[in-house]
Amino acid sequence: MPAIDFEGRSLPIQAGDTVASALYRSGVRIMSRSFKYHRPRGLYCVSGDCAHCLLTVDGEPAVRSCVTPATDGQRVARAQAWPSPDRDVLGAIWWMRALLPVGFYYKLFAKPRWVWPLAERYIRRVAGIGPVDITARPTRIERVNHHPDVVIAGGGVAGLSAAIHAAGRGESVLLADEGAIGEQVAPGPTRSAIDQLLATARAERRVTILERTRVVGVYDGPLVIAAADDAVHWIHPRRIVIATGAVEQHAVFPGNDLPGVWLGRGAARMAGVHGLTPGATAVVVAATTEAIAHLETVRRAGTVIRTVVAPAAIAAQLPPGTPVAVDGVVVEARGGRRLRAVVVESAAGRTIVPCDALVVSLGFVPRDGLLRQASVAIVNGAGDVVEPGCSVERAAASGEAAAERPQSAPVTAVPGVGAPPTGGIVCTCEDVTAKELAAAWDEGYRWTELLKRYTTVTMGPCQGLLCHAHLRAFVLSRSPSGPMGAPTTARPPARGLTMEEAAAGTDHAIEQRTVLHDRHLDRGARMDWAGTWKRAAVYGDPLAEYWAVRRGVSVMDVGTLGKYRVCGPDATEFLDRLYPIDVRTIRPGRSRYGLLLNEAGHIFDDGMVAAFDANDYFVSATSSGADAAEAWMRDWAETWRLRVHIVNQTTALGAINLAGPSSRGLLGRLTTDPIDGESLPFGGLRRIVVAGVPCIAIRVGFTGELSFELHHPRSQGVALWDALLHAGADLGILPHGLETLKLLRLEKGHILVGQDTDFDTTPAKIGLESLVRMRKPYFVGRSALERLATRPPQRRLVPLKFAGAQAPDEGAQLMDGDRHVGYLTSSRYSPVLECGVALGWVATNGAGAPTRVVAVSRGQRRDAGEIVAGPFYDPQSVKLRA
Amino acid sequence: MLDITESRVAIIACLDSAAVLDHLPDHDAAFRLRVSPDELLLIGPATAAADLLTHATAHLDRAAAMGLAIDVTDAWSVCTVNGDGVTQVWARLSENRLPDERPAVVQGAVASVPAKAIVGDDQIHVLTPSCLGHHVPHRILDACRDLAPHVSAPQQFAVRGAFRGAAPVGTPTVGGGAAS
Repeated sequence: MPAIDFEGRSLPIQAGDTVASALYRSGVRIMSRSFKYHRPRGLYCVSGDCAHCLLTVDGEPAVRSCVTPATDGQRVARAQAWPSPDRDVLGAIWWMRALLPVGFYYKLFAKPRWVWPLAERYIRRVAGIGPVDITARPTRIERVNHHPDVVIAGGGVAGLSAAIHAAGRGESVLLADEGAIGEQVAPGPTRSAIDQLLATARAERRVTILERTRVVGVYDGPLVIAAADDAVHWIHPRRIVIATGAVEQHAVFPGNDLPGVWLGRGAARMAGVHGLTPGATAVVVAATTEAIAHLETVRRAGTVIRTVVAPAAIAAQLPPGTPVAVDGVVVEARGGRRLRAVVVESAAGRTIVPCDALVVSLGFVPRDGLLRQASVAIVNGAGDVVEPGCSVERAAASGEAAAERPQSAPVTAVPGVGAPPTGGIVCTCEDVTAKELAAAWDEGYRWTELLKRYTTVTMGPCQGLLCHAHLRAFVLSRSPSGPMGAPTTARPPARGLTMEEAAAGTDHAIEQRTVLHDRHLDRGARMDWAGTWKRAAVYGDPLAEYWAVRRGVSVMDVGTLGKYRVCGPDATEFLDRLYPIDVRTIRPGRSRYGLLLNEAGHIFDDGMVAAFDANDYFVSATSSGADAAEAWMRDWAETWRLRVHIVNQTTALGAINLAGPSSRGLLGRLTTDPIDGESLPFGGLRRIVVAGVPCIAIRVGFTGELSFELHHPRSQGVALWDALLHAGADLGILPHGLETLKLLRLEKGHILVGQDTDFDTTPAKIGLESLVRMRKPYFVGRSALERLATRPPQRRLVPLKFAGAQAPDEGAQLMDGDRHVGYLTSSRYSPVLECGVALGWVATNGAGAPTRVVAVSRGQRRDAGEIVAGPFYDPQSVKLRA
Repeated sequence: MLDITESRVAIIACLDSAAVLDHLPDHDAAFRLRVSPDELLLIGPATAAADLLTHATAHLDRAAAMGLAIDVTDAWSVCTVNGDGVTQVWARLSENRLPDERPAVVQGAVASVPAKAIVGDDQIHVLTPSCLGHHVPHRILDACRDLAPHVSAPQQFAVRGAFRGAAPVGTPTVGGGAAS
């Protein structure tokens, strides 16, 4: 026999059971304990609205057990209580509640300061609605997009009528309901109507029905999000119909949350759908005509009705012989861990009625969270959500009208407010009592929104569905004419959402890869993130890679560099305006290093500007700044209205930097094109063919050694890489990664934009004034630099040397005696110089620039350093220009 | 049956004024994709690359000194999905609405990466930057496990159905016309 595991006990389940009905059938009456006061809670709404039956199911906490189908083997448990939820000694908190006044977490445990961490730990252990299993493996949930003409939330009479009507008009419809449509409605006229409409809707090809799919949010767009077990649906409709119905009004009186107190529809659902009685003897509060049907359903299931508390108009419709307290009021429910008696007040006086069930039907409040979230005028409400308690015929008509009402003003429900609560628990999710609302009011929190934030009323799992009307009634009773009682803001999610569902469709990393990615993996490279790229950081022995560059030959994959072809009749003019260097003097076949400045004269990227021909350039940018550089270029090209094409070749071209004293020799083995120092000098550009691969070769020097940057068609990158490594085997060629490159460039004193520069770094601050041609009449940032030139920089980026076998940490603070003067941006031990080399920002104002500093690293390690002239390695660039 | 394959493609970027691109002659082997007023992509099978470049260069050179035709094939990776389930694949990977007409072109994020999609009969070609080319097939296999996708050998690019040029959704359409 199929069964569920409930806290170690095997409980049988029947066809059609929910988790809650299966537990109830086996005698479980206390479904949970309350959030703050550990009060026992039993089934109440049985519609998935209240927090009474939240259980941990298969490791997932806060599952609404009354609408979750029971399946064989499910593991079910209640939130933590000691020794058990059935006999929870922490229930004593309720009797000590005077010590925990409203807003206690703002008032208590504040002094001395060490108290709060202890209190917080304890509070976290005793509060909450169940632990999260942090060892559980996350389940990947995918996102599915839909584009119907109309989306309908809710599969009742109104929702189904709207779907059928919209489809009849030729519109595509997607209808989502959080349960299996109709299954939670007790047999009767409403259920019959639903069954009939559902059959019609299913036969309509334009209607898609998603069951067990809860709509959690309505956003601008419009976008409707709905979550199911296997997917999260992103629905992009033209129009939205909200037909989420109504829930019976929460009754607030002392003892209102005892197990055994039911909302009418909940009790009828248990009796009519699952054949389970809400109790052996019951008192029924019947303020609606629907309650008469509930009364009969419960009675047929076997419950003995002790008394019906009803207004005269309803009492007159009750079957003859029904015991009635006409115009009576239930003023209290009594019991310890479950209901024992109800106190009824009527014209005849107070009567104590022994019973184990109280079924309350006071009226309806709309389930309007989604409707109130929606601010767009294409959202319509239909049925109970705008006419709570309406008839089947009215619901159907309302649905059809909603389906026909394009672009109308939004129809939103205004929750009715009744009498203000005077005793009992107003918000059962958060354990907020009527007395606590009064106390908060007396402390000065006199708006619905303020009371919400201070007391947390309406902030629990039901999102105010049960208590929002009572909150407003409370405020309006004290401030009837003011705006203080306005409805609170409804926000998504209207229903609970797991973190996995929130991450649906996005929980995957997106790596940009060069064509050589697999080659790096084959060599055992450690791949690190570099912006949005995955790049080889090190292949195993960084020192070997380093010496290969300094003493032999090495290759590096630099395909991530931003690469652009800039051409057109105005290309030279365009680049000359964009860069502070003199682009007009770059001859065909030559290149020049340039900084990209913003209007404030601050550096935001750098790269090479190389000329193929007049008005035909190859421009590079940093790997992580490539997108910004391209946007910058396009923006200015459009602004200046110059005749220029910008072709992004970042992904079309791969690039390999061949570096080291033996690099020319190796290259010569693979090309017949001239590559000698005269034909391809430092800074030169030439189209050559290497191992059959057409390349744009640029003589650059980021590593400080003789280097050839070979830009080539991406599709031929692997062939070129393999050819270089094969041909250089006898020269001891090795590839080098980012870690080695960072050391090589630091020895040469080259900056990394973003690492060595800040948001306000000007060329003068890093000693690159020579790259700015102020005599040009215009370039981006020129006027700012002109102004800044009148004020000397307050700090400069300087090269520093540190003795010893270990360099200070990057980020180490620089001290001049007791004076803090700056910090290091780059720092490495230099094998060739046998000392630490670094770049760092040093203050140049006040007492003047120091010449010696102490770098204080993590762990308080101190290194004495000296500010020197750069670059550290090959200061005359003899190697570079070889 | 859902089939995933890499399409071998040639892509020629034609850059010029809108007026010139409006009158770029059709090429039998090429699908025309107008990505912006001043840029048009000619997309055809890889075997037609040289022919397409010659075709575009000849026209643009004649039309204006501004014109530029450049082979940008290596900038793109084309993942092609064939079969009955292509709309389901699309629903899981893109928020964009698939137009009802075929063929159609959609420009926007697919599997959270920038993409252009050419939609044929039971067929979608997803063009992404080549540095992200590995990502789309990986995401399809991951997100559509229940559709039992099958990976087949690379094929030459071809669009199923009536063969017309198109402008992607959301892009201003300037000119266009049939490609073959």
